[in-house]
Amino acid sequence: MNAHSELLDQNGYIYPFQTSWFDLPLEMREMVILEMDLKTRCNFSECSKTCGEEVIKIMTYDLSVHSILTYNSREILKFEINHDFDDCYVFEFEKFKEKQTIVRFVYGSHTTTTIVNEKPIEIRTKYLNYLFKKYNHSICWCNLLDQNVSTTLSGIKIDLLTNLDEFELQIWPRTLESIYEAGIITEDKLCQIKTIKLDISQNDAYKIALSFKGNQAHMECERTFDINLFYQFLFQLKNEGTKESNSVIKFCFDGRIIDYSILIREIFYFSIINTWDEIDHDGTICEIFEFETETSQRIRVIWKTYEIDFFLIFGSHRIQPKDTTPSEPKMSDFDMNPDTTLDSILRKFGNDERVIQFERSFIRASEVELRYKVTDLLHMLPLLNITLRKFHQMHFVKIEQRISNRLNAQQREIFNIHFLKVVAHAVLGPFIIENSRTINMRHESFNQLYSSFSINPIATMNILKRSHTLAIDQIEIVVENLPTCEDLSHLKRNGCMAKDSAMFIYKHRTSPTLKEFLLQMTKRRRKLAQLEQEFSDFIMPATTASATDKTAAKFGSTRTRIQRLHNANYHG
Amino acid sequence: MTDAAQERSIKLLSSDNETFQVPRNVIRLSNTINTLLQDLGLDDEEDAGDAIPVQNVTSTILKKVIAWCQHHHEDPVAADDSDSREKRTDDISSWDVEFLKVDQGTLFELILAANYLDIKGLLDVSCKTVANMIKGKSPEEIRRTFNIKNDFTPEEEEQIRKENAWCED
Repeated sequence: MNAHSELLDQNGYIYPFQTSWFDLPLEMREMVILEMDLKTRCNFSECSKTCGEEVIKIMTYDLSVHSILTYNSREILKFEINHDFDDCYVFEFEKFKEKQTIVRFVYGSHTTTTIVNEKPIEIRTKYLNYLFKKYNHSICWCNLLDQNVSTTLSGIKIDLLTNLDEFELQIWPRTLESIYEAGIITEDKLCQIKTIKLDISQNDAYKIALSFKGNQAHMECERTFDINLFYQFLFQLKNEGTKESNSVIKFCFDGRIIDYSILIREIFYFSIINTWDEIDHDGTICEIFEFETETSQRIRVIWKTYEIDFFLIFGSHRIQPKDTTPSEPKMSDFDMNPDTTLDSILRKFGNDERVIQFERSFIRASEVELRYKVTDLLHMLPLLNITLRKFHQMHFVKIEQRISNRLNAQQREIFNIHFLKVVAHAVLGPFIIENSRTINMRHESFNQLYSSFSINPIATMNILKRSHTLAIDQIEIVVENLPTCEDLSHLKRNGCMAKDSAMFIYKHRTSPTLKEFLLQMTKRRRKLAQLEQEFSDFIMPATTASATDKTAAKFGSTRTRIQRLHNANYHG
Repeated sequence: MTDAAQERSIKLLSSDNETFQVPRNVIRLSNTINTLLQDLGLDDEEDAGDAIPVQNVTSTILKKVIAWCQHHHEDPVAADDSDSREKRTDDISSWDVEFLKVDQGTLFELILAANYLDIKGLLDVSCKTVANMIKGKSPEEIRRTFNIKNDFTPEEEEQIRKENAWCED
C-alpha cells in the first residue's frame, strides 16, 4: 500500500482507507483530473504539493495536446506537440476565429499552438492569469491579441516585459512615436530586422512584432496613431533596414499569418493596411500575398475567392480588374517625399475649394434645389473616398454631419434621405437594381469605384455598416436589391467580385438585427416615397424594372435568389 | 473475428489463479485480449488452449470487469471522437452508476484493470466516477476522501489558495 496511508496530517486526520489516490499510476490520475473542470482541478491542486504540480502539468497538457487534437488541423497554422512540460511557457495568445483563442506554448525552442475555444472568455482569462502567475518569471514574450484577455492582463504585461533583456524591454512603447523619437531603434538594430508582423485584427490597435535575428520585439500602437510617424519609421527601415533583398514579412490577419517576400526598399504597407481595415475579416480572409517582381511594384492579394492587385502607390492603392493589363506605375508614384504623405494629401483634399463651395451652395439651396445638390455628391466621391480612408469610422458620418448640422429640420430630412441614397447608389451601385438611372450609375460607379477611386464595395459596405447612421440603409438596400446573375458574372469576370458576396449579403439578411433594419427601412421607404411623390417633377424618371427584378426586390424571393446566385457563382 | 469465433469462449486466469470462461464476443471489448488473440493466431482457433493469464487483475476485479463487458458487449461501437467530445461527467448510465457503487479501493482497481485490459468504456466511466467524487468538494474534503496528506505549510497553503482564487470568483 502507499506511503500516504495511516498518516496524520497537520489537522490530525487519520486516513481510514487502505488504498489511496497515489496508488493509481500517474497516467490514471491524469485521466481522472482531465475529467474535471477547472474549478475542481484547482480545489484538487490545493490538496498537496504533488497534487498541485500534477494539476498544472495536466492542465497544460490538456490544453496543449488534447485540445489541439480535437481541432481541425487544417485550420491550425502550425503546431508541435511536446510532452516535456519541464520548460513550459505560455507564449502567445491570438484571436483565431470568433470565440476562439490560440494559445502558443513554448517549450524551449518548440512551440505548441492550441486553441482554447471550449472555455468561456472569463474562464480563459482567469486561467491565463493563473498561468501567468504560476510561471511568473518564465514567460518571455507575450502577445495578447484577444482584446478581453489583453485588457484583463494589461497590468501583467509590464511585469512580463521586465523579464525581457534590455533591448527587448525597451521596445514596448504605447506608440510608434515614442519608439522612433526616443531613438530606441538604432541603426544597427534596424539592420538586424528580419521579420515584421503586423496584426490589425484587433479593433483599436495595431500590433507590430519585429524579429531581430532570433530576438523578438513587440510594438503596440493605437490605430489613431500619426500616420506620418509610421511612415517615417518604415521609411527608415527602408533606408537603414535590412540590406538583404528578401526580408520576410509576416502579416497576421485573424490568426492567419501570411508570409511573403518583399523588397523592403519600397514602403507600401498602408495600401494593405487601409484595405484590410475596410474588409470584413470574417467574410474574406486573405490567403496569399505575393509580389511579382521588384519592377512591377505589384502586390497580388488572393482572397479565398478572388484576386485583387494592389499597385504600390503610396497613400493609396488601385484595384484593377484582373484581366486588364495595368499601366505600369511611374516611379514618381513611389516618391517618398514627406510632402506627398497621405496626410498631406488628405489635408489638401479636406480643404479643397470644391468641398467648401459645395457646402456653401448646399446651405443656400432651396428644398427643391437640395435634391440636385445632393446628387452632386457623386462628384465628390474622390473626396469622400479619401475622407473615408482617413477617418475610418467617421468618414461618411462626418461629411454628413458637416452639412446636416447646418440645415433646418426639413432640409436635414431631405438631405439625410438623399444623402444615404446617393451614397448607396454610388458606392454599392453594383448591387442595386432599381431603374435605368441606377443601372447607368452602377456602371459608372463600377468604373469609378474600381478604376478611379479604388473603392471596394464589400469593404465599403462594412464601413457603412460600422457607421451607424448609414449602416441601416445601406444594408437595407443590399438586402432588398440583390445583384443578378449577370451582375455577378460581370463582376466576377473582371476579378472584382467575391464568390461569397451573396452569402455575405445573406448573412446580413439573417442577422439578428434584421428586424431593426426592416423597421428602419420601412420608415425610410415610406418617407422617401412621400418625398418622391411631392417632388416628382424634379426626379429623374425611373424606367420600368424587369419583372424579375421587381420580384427579386421583394423579400419573399430573396432566399431563392440568393441560393440561385450563389449556385451560379460557384458552378459557373 | 468471425461469427463462429465470437460464439466461442476463452479462459482468463486472474492473478490469484482463478479461471474465468468468457465468451469471445464479450471479451472483445478488451483491446488487449483481442490483440493478444490475433497476434497469437488464436482468433479463429476452436480452442484457444490454455487460460490467458491476466496477471495484474485479481479474481474479484476480473469478475467485475467481465460483468461490465457482458452488460456492454452489445453496445454500439462509439465513434472514436473521445478527444473532440465535451468533457462531462454527468453522462454515466444508471447501470454503470450502480455497478460502480463500490469501495474506493475496488474502484481504483477497476481503473487499473480497465487500463491494463484496454477497455475504453470501463476506463472512461470509472475515471468519471472518481472525478465525480472530487467535484464539489473542498480541498480538505478531497484529502479525506482520497487519503492525501496535506504537505503544505500553512503559509504555502495560504499562498496557493490565493493563487487559485481565480476559480472562486
